[in-house]
Amino acid sequence: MDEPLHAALVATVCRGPDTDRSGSRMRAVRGPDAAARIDVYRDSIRSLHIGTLGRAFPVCRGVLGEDYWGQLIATLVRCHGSDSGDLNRYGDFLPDALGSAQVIRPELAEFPYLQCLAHLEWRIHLAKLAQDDDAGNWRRFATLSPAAQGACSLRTSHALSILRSVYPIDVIWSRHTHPGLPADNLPGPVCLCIHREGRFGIGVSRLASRESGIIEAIMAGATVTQLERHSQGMSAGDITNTVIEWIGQGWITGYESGADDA
Amino acid sequence: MIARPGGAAVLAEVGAGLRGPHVPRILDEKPAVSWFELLTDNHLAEGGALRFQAEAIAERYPVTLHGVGMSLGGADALDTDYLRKVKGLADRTGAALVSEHLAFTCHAGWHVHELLPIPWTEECLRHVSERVRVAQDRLGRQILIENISAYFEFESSSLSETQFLEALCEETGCGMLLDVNNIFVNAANHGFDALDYLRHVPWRHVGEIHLAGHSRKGDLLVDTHAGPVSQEVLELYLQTQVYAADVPVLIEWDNDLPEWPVLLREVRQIEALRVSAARKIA
Repeated sequence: MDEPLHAALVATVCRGPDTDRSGSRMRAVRGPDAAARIDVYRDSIRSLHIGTLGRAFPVCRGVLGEDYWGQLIATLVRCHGSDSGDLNRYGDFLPDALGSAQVIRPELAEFPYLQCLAHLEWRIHLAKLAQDDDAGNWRRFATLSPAAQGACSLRTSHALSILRSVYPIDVIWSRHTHPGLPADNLPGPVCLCIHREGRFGIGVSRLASRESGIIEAIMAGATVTQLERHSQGMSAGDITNTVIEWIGQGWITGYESGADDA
Repeated sequence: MIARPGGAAVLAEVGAGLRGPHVPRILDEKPAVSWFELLTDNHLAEGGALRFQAEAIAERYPVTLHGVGMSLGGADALDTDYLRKVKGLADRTGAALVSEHLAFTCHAGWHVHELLPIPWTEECLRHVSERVRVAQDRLGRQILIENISAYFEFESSSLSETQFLEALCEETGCGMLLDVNNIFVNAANHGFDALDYLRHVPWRHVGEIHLAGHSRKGDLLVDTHAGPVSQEVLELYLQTQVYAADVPVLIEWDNDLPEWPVLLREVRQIEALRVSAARKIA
């Protein structure tokens, strides 16, 4: 294969006129319509990538406005290509790229929360694509001895993730996605749980400090017995009630038996 | 009748490209459409609504898969994880056909998600043939390869596109997906005779035909899939009926997507056109 030709062609259609090194080896690229022929690819690739990011980050796009968003993203996609054949996975670079852009674009100082908001939107995007969960066998769990239950670790939903921010990004997100609904004007910092709501919906729930301690311990593989250590003084009964509530909400989807139960 | 490649035999007449905004209405109204083609890359998610949509449609209609991410003409190693996902989707949906493009979409890990042309050389033929064989092995099935719209050609090409595709089909056992709009667009942009192209198509390998709309940009036609199939492309499609009246045909509409009834009308139009063409040929 002519790898240099492939490399030159990708660089030409992705990066810009200064990288047009393959044209001399192609028919119909010379002459007055050469730029137009290359532009067909450039325009298509640019609009595909911008469209993809716009759908994954609708609130950031709305915050910045269509024109500014389009101009900013057009710049960023030149440096950040897609590293997967699955276009749904394109966009993980954007939160940090927006953070870097804030350093060199003074106008973005107006939106200090932008990077965190983008992290939230990317987590939401991934939650939409996440593997569906199997129902846990809680009847069997109920038959275990208290010691065996305590030795179990709990399994969270594939879609669930936790995000912390000093900014009230959940409030900003809600105002843009549900403009007709009243939103509490809660301050940051926040610890957020991103999760499926119903079969395909996505919810963003703010966690109290004690709740976040428990869910993060569960995600780290703590056993049921160990949860009390992370609950900041919650009683065993309150921890149980919290876990039961999360099972009902689909945040906790199953359990792994401890060594005693194996 | 010529034995058509792969699962084409289970498909009938005219299908429609499935697009997300149309899915709720299609599931609700269950319109009489012979089959739907899913864009493979849109439904590779491990879960969620996109996966559900693919499976829900496949429960009600025959489906095919059409992808852009395999990069069969590329120099990078084939993405085995991508192939695994495609196989999973094909198995879950019982896809009658799986198709890809004669193009590359990735180089040095950079995925452009755009169909870039390759030179039609013997060396390239050997390279693509090996990759098609591997892809078919991984998928456990034959794939169809589509001719693309290309806005330039390579000076190094020593074969015609139809020669390249025929040899590829012969060497790998793959089939061909003939995109009539792409032939029309390329003929206009490169100045060749579309009817002459049709005369050289390896028809015995053609398992599916695509129709789509194109747009004009300056002096060029661009394969935008942003409107109805043009009258000229319909006329060219009628010419294919001489060679391949039994080949299933699909309408693609991706950009400036209309409401579902508009696309359904396009399907009905092509259905009527096929009946009319069959009468004339008989």
